[in-house]
Amino acid sequence: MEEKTKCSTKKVLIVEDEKAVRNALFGKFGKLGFKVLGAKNGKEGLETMSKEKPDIILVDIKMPVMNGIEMIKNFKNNEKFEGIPFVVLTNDSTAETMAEVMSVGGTQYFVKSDTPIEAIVDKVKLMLNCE
Amino acid sequence: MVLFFEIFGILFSVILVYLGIRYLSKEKALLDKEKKRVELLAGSFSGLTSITGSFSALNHIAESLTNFGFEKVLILTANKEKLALTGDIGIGFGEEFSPSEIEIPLDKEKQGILTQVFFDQAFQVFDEKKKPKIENISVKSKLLESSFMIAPISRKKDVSCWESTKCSKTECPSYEAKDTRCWLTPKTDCISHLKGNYDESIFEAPNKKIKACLDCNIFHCLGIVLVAKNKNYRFSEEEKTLFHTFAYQAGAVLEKGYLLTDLELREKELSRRMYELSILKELGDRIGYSLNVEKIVDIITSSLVKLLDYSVVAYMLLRPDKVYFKCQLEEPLNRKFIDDIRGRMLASLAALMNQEFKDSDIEEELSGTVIDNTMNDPIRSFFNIPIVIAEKTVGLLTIASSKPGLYKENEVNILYKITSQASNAVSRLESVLEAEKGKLNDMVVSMIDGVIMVDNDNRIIAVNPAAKKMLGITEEEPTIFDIINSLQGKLDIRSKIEESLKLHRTIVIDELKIENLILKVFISPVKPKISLKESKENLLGVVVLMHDVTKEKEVEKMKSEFVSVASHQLRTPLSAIKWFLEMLINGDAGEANMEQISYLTQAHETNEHMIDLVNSLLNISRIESGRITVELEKLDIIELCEGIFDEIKMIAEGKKQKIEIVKPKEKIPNILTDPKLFRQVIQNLLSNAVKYTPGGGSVKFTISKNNDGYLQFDIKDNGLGIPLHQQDKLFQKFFRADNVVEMDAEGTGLGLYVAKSLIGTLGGKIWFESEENKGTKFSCTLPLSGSKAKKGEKTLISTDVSKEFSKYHAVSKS
Repeated sequence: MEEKTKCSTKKVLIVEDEKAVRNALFGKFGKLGFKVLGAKNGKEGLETMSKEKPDIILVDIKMPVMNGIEMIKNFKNNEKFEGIPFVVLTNDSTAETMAEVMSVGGTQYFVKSDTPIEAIVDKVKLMLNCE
Repeated sequence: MVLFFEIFGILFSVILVYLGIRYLSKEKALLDKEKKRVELLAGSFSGLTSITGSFSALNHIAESLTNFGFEKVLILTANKEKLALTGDIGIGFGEEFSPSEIEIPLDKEKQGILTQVFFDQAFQVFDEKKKPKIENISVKSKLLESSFMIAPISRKKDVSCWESTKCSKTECPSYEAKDTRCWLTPKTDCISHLKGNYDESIFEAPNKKIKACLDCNIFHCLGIVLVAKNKNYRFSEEEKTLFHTFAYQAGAVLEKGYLLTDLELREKELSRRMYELSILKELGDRIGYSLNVEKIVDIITSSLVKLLDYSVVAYMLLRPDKVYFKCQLEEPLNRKFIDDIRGRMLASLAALMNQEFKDSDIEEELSGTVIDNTMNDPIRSFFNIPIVIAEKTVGLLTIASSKPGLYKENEVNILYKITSQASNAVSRLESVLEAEKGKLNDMVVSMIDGVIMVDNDNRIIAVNPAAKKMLGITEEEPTIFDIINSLQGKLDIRSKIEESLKLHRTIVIDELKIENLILKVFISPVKPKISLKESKENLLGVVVLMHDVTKEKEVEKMKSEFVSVASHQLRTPLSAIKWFLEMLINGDAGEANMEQISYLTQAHETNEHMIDLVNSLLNISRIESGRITVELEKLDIIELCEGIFDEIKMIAEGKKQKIEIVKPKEKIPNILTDPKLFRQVIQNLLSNAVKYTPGGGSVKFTISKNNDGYLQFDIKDNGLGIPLHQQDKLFQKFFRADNVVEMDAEGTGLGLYVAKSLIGTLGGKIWFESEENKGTKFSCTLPLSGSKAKKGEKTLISTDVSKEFSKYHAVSKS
């Protein structure tokens, strides 16, 4: 098995309009030693990305100004951000949204209210192969 | 009555005899040689009393007359059927003809004076085969060659006519009443003549002196009696009186005969009327309120056999596309007989309807006796009566017989009376119904809902304005095709109608979108109200009711959208709470003490419950709006069930319950269904069983293949059970049974509602058996043939009781 890297070296970008949710994730990942970056919407998220290249992005779908799908499309089309994994965290569990996420290359999709925060942490750790 | 007349007759004869004897006794001294004659006379009359039957009585009189020395005696009686005087008895005439062969036609113009007719008319002689042997023989030359006396034979009660010398001019009331016997002699001057002389000289100028007072109400002539000598001879007064007495006696005899016949006739008539009445009553009773012409005619024909003599009764009824011919045979006949009737009836019907019918138009039904082609009787008696209902000819009724001369005016009249009675009854009933129908029509016209009535042959019987407006139909009287066009292919109404008729069941189409409207459509079979025996087979058609549910659907949609949005908005803060609590419990913000953990855990549990509730609400709004997607996969259902079972097993074991799964022995092929939806159903049922069964209880999950092509899932527990009085509400939204609420069990009251909706969507069924405090068995089925896919907009949110949470989380149920 490949040697796992330290999670404290990883940068997590959280794009979430709902302050409480953002703070929860911020707190959790911060406690675990991740470098956590925050953004209120897709546009802010893209701006942050261009300043500081994150290792993984946790992105909400329904957001004002620019929604999650738009943001994903944007950075997916940008060579600069090639290969950055992302996890979709949303409360919109409709088939269309899920299909849209898949169409922009999303593979990780969590319904927030149904997912324990620990499960998200585990998923991120797994994706980044870190401890 | 008969006896009375008999006695009366005898009495009269006795008096006459007595009178005769008294008359003769006056002459006794003078006419000693006449003594023998008197005895003879007395013998004749007393002998007469013992004779029954008019003919033998007349014969006796004729013989007596010859005994008194009259060489020729001829008695002719009026035969009303032949309209002729026919010879009854003739004695002393030559070999040329027998007097019984004589037939003297009665001229209507000269009717009334029988003797007159007798003189004027030539007569004919018929042979045995009723062919004229000799025609136009002069009565005078043949019968009255020499001296003769002639007297009319009259009715006894007209005796005054014999005695009076002059009777006034009388009217004949019986003539006015068209008594068939009266045609003989209407309005006759009643001049008595019998007191006068009957010698030839008088008869030489009959018009001047003799006018027989014949058939007025005081003198009813029944015939003529004639005596003659073979030579010219002057009759003595005595002979005249004797002849007079005998002629008179002949009248009494004939009258008695007639009276008897009359009586018999009247009796016959009476009993026929009784029959007629009883049949009419029976008809009334049996027809009841039926409007079915065929049935009514059947009743008539089945009653007829009591009334008429016939070989065959048949009827033809006009149907829209054919002629229905029903023939009831009362005796064996050959096929030709029936074909003859068929032909005659068809011709009559064609004439009656002024319409051509082909033999191929006929639908034939024979009943009664079988056809016997060895019989070769032709139709000898036959008559038709049209069947008319509400002034419209609908068919023909026919009676036929192989016997000749059966049907006269009377028979035709009876049948006519019966059929018209029946058709009147039907006509009246129809008019009542018409009026009722009018009311009903008004009601249907005023209805807000669209109503279309369709009969068994897909003909539109009625379409109300609301229906026309809904479907945008402009035709005054639309056909089924107009309706089909107006539905724009959105509803195959014809097959739905067929289905409804076939299954005897109302078909409901929940949503039919036509232009801007959403209609709920009910297609119900129409059963006849009067429960006839055959009513089950005889549906009248269907009624299609269209209820505009556009508004309701809009409200429903808004409601479910509201629920969806609200639920969605709730989920986000709930997830924030959830995560913060998880972090606190996990010690992310510093180790919490036991008490703190306990509180946080309860807060988390409550929050989870809230999330569950919101998810359930979201699911329900999706299911109810019909926007749920059904995505099919070929599934190993047993494997899926085992998976669910294993998850639930953990919870059950936590409660120290005994839980087991029983799988079918045979291999179950993969089934095409939506795993997510199906999973939800089984999960709900299994988790309910565990939830509502106290610790230490048992839960058994059995999967089996039933005989109807379904896989059946039984989930049996020995838990709380469902109170009997609440069992019917179990599948209602938000319903929770009292005993469950009481024990403080968590739940939303949505699980079973969701399960029922989902299993229905997948083509299965759900039901249960339960007894409070004993346990519950829920059963549901899934078709082995698979579910139907459905493209919706929403997928189901998992409301998994054993969410991954438990896998990750440290929160222990304390």
